Amino acid sequence: MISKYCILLIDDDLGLRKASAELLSREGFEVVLAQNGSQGVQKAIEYIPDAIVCDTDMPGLSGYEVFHMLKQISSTLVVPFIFISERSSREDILAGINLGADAYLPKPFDLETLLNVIKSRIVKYERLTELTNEKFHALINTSLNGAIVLNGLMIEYTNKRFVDMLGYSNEELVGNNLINFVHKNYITDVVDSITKCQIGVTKSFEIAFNAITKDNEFTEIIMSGAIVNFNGTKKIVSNCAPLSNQFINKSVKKQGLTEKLTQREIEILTLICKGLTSSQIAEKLFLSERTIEGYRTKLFDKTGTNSAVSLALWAVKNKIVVL
Amino acid sequence: MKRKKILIVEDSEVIQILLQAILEGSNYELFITNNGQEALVHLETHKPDLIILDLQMPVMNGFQFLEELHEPNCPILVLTAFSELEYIRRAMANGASDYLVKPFISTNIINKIELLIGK
Repeated sequence: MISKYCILLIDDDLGLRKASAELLSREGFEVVLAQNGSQGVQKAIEYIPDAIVCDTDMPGLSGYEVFHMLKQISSTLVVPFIFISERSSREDILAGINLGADAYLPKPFDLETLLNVIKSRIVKYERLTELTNEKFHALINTSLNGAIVLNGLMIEYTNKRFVDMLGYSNEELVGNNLINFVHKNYITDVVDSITKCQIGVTKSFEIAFNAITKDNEFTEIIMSGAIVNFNGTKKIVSNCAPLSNQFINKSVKKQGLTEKLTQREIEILTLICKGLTSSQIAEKLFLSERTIEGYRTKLFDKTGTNSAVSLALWAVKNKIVVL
Repeated sequence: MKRKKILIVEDSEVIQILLQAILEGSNYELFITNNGQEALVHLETHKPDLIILDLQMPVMNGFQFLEELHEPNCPILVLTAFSELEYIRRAMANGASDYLVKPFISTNIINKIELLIGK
């Protein structure tokens, strides 16, 4: 019934380890053995097994301590955990279960019982995982924006809107690195924002950048993402909306901000947000490039920003230009 | 029309063959070197329009090559398995123009080359 699943067995009793390993291997499981708690924790992190069977009483780290440690680690948090123990009183069993373990087997037990408990917990775990997967993907697929799931910088999942935005097929995007679709001027900023979020320096991020479409055109994307713990792994889930076509070339007057920026500055700011260079703006407004550069510096000063991207984000947040 | 020249600096034979296959139908003339040192020797007598540079190579790696080159006369597209921020920052700060991460699809590299030097 079940094959290729990995079981980690942590017990200082050599006889029990050998007998259990033999039975589980015969049933098609991959068995990883640990003879004490600290070795168990290391192997759990290394192998991320499909179930952990752990003795409560061992020299050094106890089974309870192993349990607590593995519940602190996102990759091992959701792995079914089964206590086996010499302690067989009702209180001991309840204490183990109340801790949050998936099962508690008092010793001695016959190996068939252990096998059945492991199988049933794996099946339950898989059902839960499938359900979470379905909900997760349904949420992304029904998003009105483009959405992607990143594992590091690798694109792991995309919805149709994101696929349409870049013009690549799903197969071309999934498994590829996001960097490969980012215009060179934005690569460092994009990687910086995502990396900070990935390692927990920030909880979420928002960044505007030029993406390269399959036809080798640029499309301006505003990407806002956050880190989520999904099936024990940290992923970046991001919403991506096209920026350029949705900017309306008019300002929304807001108290305070209109005092802060002149009409001319708002006009130039709107063009900067549309991705125009200083020379393009100069040409459009019949001004010199030098004048535009002056306005650009003033805008950075007044808004406390230092790049076109951060200026665009500031403008969107303050509704100077609206989506 | 004069064909644009691309110098490939890459030790992996697989990637060399892959790049040749991808760019076969295009109008580029390809030159292949296996490391930074070979590339520097090539540059003494050739003027490519673009350099495609791997970072991890024996003899002289991509970073050493960028340092030796000082001010490159043409754009440099880094092609590497490293996607960590520190590598990207270091490469860009030392003269790389653009950055592509392995694995990639052919459209990625064709698009980036065209953006840097045209067709």
